[in-house]
This record gives sequence, structure tokens and C-alpha cells, in this order.
Amino acid sequence: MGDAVKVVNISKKYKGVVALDHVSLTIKKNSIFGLLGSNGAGKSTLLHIIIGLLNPNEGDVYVLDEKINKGFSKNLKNKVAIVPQKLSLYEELTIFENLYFFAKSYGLPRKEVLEKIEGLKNILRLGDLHRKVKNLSGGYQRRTSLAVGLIGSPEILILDEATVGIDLETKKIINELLLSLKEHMTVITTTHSLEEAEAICDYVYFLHKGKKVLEGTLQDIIKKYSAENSGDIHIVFKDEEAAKKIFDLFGETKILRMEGNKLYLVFFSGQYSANVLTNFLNKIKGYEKDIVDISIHKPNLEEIMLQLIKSD
Amino acid sequence: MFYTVLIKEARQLFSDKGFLLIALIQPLIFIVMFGSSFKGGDINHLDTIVIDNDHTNYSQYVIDATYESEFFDPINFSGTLDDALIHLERSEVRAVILIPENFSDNIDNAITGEIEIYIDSSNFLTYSSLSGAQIEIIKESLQRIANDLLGGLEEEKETSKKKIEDIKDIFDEIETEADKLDAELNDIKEEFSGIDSTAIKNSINSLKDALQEEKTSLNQTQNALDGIIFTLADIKAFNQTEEDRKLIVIGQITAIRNGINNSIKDVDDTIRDLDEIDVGTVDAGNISDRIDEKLDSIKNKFESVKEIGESISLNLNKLQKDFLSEPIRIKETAYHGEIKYFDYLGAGVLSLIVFFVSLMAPALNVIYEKEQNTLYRLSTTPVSSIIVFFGKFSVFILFSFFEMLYTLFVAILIYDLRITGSIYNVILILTLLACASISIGLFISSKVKTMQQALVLVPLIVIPSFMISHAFFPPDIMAEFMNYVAYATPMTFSNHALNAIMIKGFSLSEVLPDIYALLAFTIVPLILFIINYKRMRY
Repeated sequence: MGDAVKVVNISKKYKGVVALDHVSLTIKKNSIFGLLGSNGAGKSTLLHIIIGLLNPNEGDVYVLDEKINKGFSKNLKNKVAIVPQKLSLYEELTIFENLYFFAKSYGLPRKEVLEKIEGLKNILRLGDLHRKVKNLSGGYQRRTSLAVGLIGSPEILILDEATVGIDLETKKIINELLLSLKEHMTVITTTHSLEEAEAICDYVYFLHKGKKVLEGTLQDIIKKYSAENSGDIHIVFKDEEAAKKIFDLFGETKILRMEGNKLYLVFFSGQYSANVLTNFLNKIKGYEKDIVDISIHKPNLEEIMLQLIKSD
Repeated sequence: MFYTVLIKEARQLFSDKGFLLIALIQPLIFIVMFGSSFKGGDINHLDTIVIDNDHTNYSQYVIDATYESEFFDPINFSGTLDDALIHLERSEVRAVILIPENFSDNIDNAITGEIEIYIDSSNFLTYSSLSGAQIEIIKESLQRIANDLLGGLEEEKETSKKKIEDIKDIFDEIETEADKLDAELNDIKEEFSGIDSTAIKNSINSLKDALQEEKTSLNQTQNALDGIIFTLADIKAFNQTEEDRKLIVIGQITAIRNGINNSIKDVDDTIRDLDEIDVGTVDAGNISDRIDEKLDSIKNKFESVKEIGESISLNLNKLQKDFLSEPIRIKETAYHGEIKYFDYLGAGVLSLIVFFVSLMAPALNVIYEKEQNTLYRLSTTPVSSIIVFFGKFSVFILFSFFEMLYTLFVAILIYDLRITGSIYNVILILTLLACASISIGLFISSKVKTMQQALVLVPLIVIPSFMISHAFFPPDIMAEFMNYVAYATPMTFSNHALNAIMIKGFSLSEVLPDIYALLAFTIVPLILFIINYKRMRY
């Protein structure tokens, strides 16, 4: 069994500006792959190269073991579906009409189309299919867009910032669906939301200014950066006044910040952090009765990425 | 806050560089199109064929007047009328002027000289202009012909004067002869008084009969001269000089008439004298011979007077009343029949509606899809760009077809639009124009990025297309280079074909070049659209 996608050393320039700089990656089949990065990092360019809408200046791309050369073949178009960031639906048509139209574009027979529409209606809880898309809420529009992406039963589903700005219920439904789909298809998602990536991705690839900054499974990355770096101590006081009393003992400092009745103390590995922590513990002596809870919080993906971007 | 809103709106408006570029170009194109479509301000200098079958001074005057007219622009041509009419049929010339071979003969014989003019009525504006301009040719050529005619009349006047002098001399001689005859008769009366001879009596009676005949002849001449005087008195002269000349001639003829009257009296006197003769002792044979001789002499003189009178009468015939009221007439033929202004505009209006709707609808549809990103999404599915194109194309053809039928129906029902040829051919041409317009609309949509740009660009294409497509301004009055620019729009070809079918009644085989052009306008943008389709998907 080959890889879903293999990108070998590709570069892309737009009017002299490097959008991608010798990027290589491999996406395993039946996984959820997160392509991460801030705006302008090169995610969309990479995605458009993968789906054959853009040609790289150098390097090769293989999708389902087929080399991409000037666009997708009809075979690949049958196997790869994209859910764009923009809604990309016929808003004057109903949910059913949109699903039917795109299903027919895959050449599916009517009976199968109707079965699939019924299945997706239930999975994505689309409700009344005869509502016009323009009259739907943002959440339902997103669900419909995802349903359109799934109607052709693709082997690879690409989500290009497809869950931006949706409500929690929709996000939950979509995440559950994607996790369940992993057995049958490969999902590639680009997102700003690292929280979302943490929730569903098996493997993440972090781009910054057209270059790879980081890649690996979530567990490996968090483990690696937690050990090497730092964490927060979260101290919850009984009220804001008590928290402020302790906060004032330190004056202006970057390692301690206050939010309501909570104090956050950042620590790093090494002698400096040990001293800070010892000092802090000494100072709060006598105020134990004001403290409700103390917890240690390890860095999440977002914090790790922010650190990496800053260090860059 | 107002200032903030103003700044925001300005920034939004000016952020679309494509829109700004089109908005900048638009006025320039409009001004150039308007200015160059109407080069002279008037519809004149229209190509004209002049055929001269008369080849006389008079026909040359007509040709000269045509050349000098600002409306007609005669071209070199050496064919027959039928050849010329073929050019007119194709609207390659706007008029054919035929001067028939009897043109100058008719004028010389005081018959109205007729010129034939065939005007291409398929273009209302040029037709109206030329139809009104004929009077200029008549006026100019008539002035020259009138000068010739008056010169001739002057000669005639001199000749007539001389002839009247001759008549005077003849009457003097008649008078002398009559006196002599009178004297001789008196001598005879004295010499042969009392002689009674039957033979002489008979001779005298014969002489009396002959004199009676002469009297009748003189009376007829007198009446003929009276008729001439009355006819002449009725004629209206061109001007005072002519009036004066007319009065002189009337005076001269009246003098002749009075002379004849005197002669009649002389004859009466002679007859009376003969009645008084006593023929009893006369030598009848001798007397009879002498009197016959005298009478023959008088008779001959009267014959001369008669001839001169007839000659004057013939010349005066040239001043016939009908001829003077219309010396030259132009017989006009509207080559494709009389047309209404709407008939002429019909082809252009139908083309405009079909072109605008068929171009606008697909262009906006595709740009909307681009803005909605649905085209991009569709491009990631297995549907080919050819299928997408023909799917869209077919729907818009159907839409345009019904729009066109509806427009045609209204134009015929309410405005009685003239369709001389087949209505099916009209529908076919409009359908081909719709195909071309849809292809162009789709091509535009592949190049334009925003709806705002499209809304500026589409009128930029449609309005100048209408102006330069010969729908309103005939090619004759457009700047030459603008007639080449006109080939850049399918409307020029549809207008040409529709005009030919609707006004001239042409068949499809006669508008094949237009059909080929419309097909080219369909196929080329179609290919460009499909090529651009991949690039325009996002």
C-alpha cells in the first residue's frame, strides 16, 4: 500500500517571491494530516500544487502513486475531493440540488446518489434538504459544503480552512465525522486552529514562510517540546483581591501574569526557573488559606508553534 | 464620520485596479467612437453611379451638377444600368442616375427631359438624404440648359425679325400688285365698257371664285396668328426680360395679322370691282390671261407669307406652357421600396437587444460563479471544461432564443416591422448572433475578475458596438478607419445580414459571408474561453 500523497522537494515562486522553498512531505493513507501555518505561510500554495491546480517550479508531487503533471487526471478527480475555505455552493439552489448536482458530476447513478444524500443528511444532521443554501445559517452551510465534498466518496478529502468560524455544535459534528472517516479515507486539513488540529490530526506539518518548521505526530511533538522547554503553574485564589496581593509582591515581570483570581507563572527548564519557582513558593508562604487550587499546565501545540515562530 | 465614510468608499472603489483601468479607458473609447462614427456631421458624399446614354451638352450639365453636389459622389463606372443596379442591390453604391438617350432631344422639342434615379432605400438616412438632394441636380443642370435655350431663343428672335421684315416687303409688293391690278381693271372697264361676252363673264366669275378662295386662306392665316397671339399671351415668362421679349414677339405677330387683314380688304375691293365690270366689248381671252397672271402673282406672295407664319409658329411652339413649368423631371425609384425609419432601425435594435442580453447574462453568471467559488469547486470534480462550457452555452442559447423571439414578436405586432425576406432567416441570424455574444460573454468572464469590472466592461463593448455596427450611422459617413474597427463586433455582420434579409429580401446564400463571420465570432472566443478556463478557476 503506497502513500496517499508524496511531495518531493518542491519549490514555487510568485513574481520573484518564494512561496514554497524545497518542501517535502509524505501523507500516509487513512490518516488525518494537518497542514498548519499562519497566513502567507504557503499552505494554500502547497494544497493547490497537491490537487494539480498549480504547477511547482521544481520538485514532484505524487497523489495515490500517480505523478501530477499539469493538473489532475479524471481518475484522480474521482478520488480526491476538496472542501474550500469559501462556501463554494450554488446559493440559489437547495441543499438537495447542490448535493445532487455534485454527485452527478462524479457520474453516479440516481439511485446511489439518493442513497448517499440520505446518508449524509443523517450523519451531518442537515435537516430539511429543500431549503435554499442562501437561507441557511453559517453552520448548516458548512455542513452542506462538507457533504458536497463527501458525496463522491473520495479516497482523499482535502479541507482548506473548511471549519473556520463555525459554531461549536457543527465543529463537534464535523470532527466526529472526520475521525470516523479515517478508516476509509485520508483527510488533509489546513487550519489556523491548532486546537482543532490537536483534536483530530494524527500528523501535523507546520509551514512558515514557505519552509517546513516542524512535522510529526502530535504526541511526539508535545512530548519533545514539553521536555525541552517549559510550562505554566496555574494558581487559583479564592478571590481577585487575594490574587492581586500576591501579584503585587513581584511588581512588573514577564514571567507572572494575572487574570481575574488566577496567577500564571511561566517556568522554564534550567537554574533560572528553579530560582524563580523557589522565590515564588517562599513569597506565598502565609497565604495558603487564600489558594484554592494549583496545577501545572504543559505547553500545547499553539504555544510550541508561537515559540518556534518567535525563535525564527 | 462623513469624512470617514467618504474615505472608506473611495478606498473601496479605487482598490479595484481593473475597474479603474476600464473606467479610465471608457470615456476615451466613447468619445473616439462617437466622433469618428459621424465624421462630417451630415449625410453626404454618397457613392453614386451616373450612366449617360445621351452624350450631349445637356446630359453633361446633369453630370456636372451631380459632381458638384455635396450629396452625390460619382464613381468611375462604364457598365450598363443592370450592372449598376447590382452594385446598388449590394449597397456598394447608394444611387444610380440614368440619363436616357432622348433627354436633350426632348428638351429641344419642348418636352420635359426625364432623368431616372434609383436610390438604395435599405438605409433610411442615406435614402432620405439623396431623395431630398435631387432638386439640387435639377436646379444646377436646369440653369445651364436654360442658358443654352435662351441663347437659342435670341437667335430665333433675330431670324423671326428678319422674316417679319420679309413679310412686310411681300405685303408691300402685294399692295403694289393690287394697285396695278386695280388700275388695269379700271382700264379694262373703260376700254371694254358695254361689251357682253359669255366667255369673259365666265372668266370674271372664275376670277371672283379664285379671289374668294384667297380670301378664305387669308382669313385662316389671320385666325392662326390670332391663336398664336393668345397662346403667347398665356405663357408665364421666367423673368421680366423674358416677358419683354414675349411682348415684342406678340407685337410683331399682331403687325403681320393686321397686314393680312388689310389684304383681305383689298381682295374684297377687287371682287367688288370685278362685279362692276361690263364685259360686253372685252377681248375675253387677253383680259383673262392678264388677270390670271396677276392673281397667280398675288397667290404666290400669300403662299410665302403663310410659310413664314408657319415657321414663326413652330419656333413659338418651343415656349409650350407645360415644358416651361417642368423642363427637367427626375423619376425616382426607391430601389428596395419605401421604408419607415423603424424598418431601417429594426435590424440594429434587434441585434442590440440580442447582443446585450446574450453577452451580459453569461458574463455575469460566470463572474458570479467565480466570486462564489463554485467554478473552482466544479473544476476539482471529474466534469470537463467542455461540458461546463456547453452546459452553460446551451442554457443561454435557449434563454437568448426566447428573448429574441419575444422581441421580434413585439416589433412585428406593435411596430409592423418590415420583413421582406424569410422570418426564419431572420431568426437564424439572430440565433447566430446570440451564439457569438454568449461566446464573447463567456470569454470576457474568463478575463474579468469582479462583477464591478464586468458591469463597466459590458456597456463599454455593447454601446460602441451598436454605434459602429452601421445600425445607426451608415458606413458612408463614418471615418474610414472606423469602418475597419466595425468588423471587430459581430453586430456589424448581423446588422448587415438582417438588413439584407428584412429590407432587400435576400436569401441566406446571399449573406453567407456574414454567417461565416458570426460563426467565427462564436468559435474563436469559445476556444479562448476553454483555454482560459483552467487559469480562471481561482
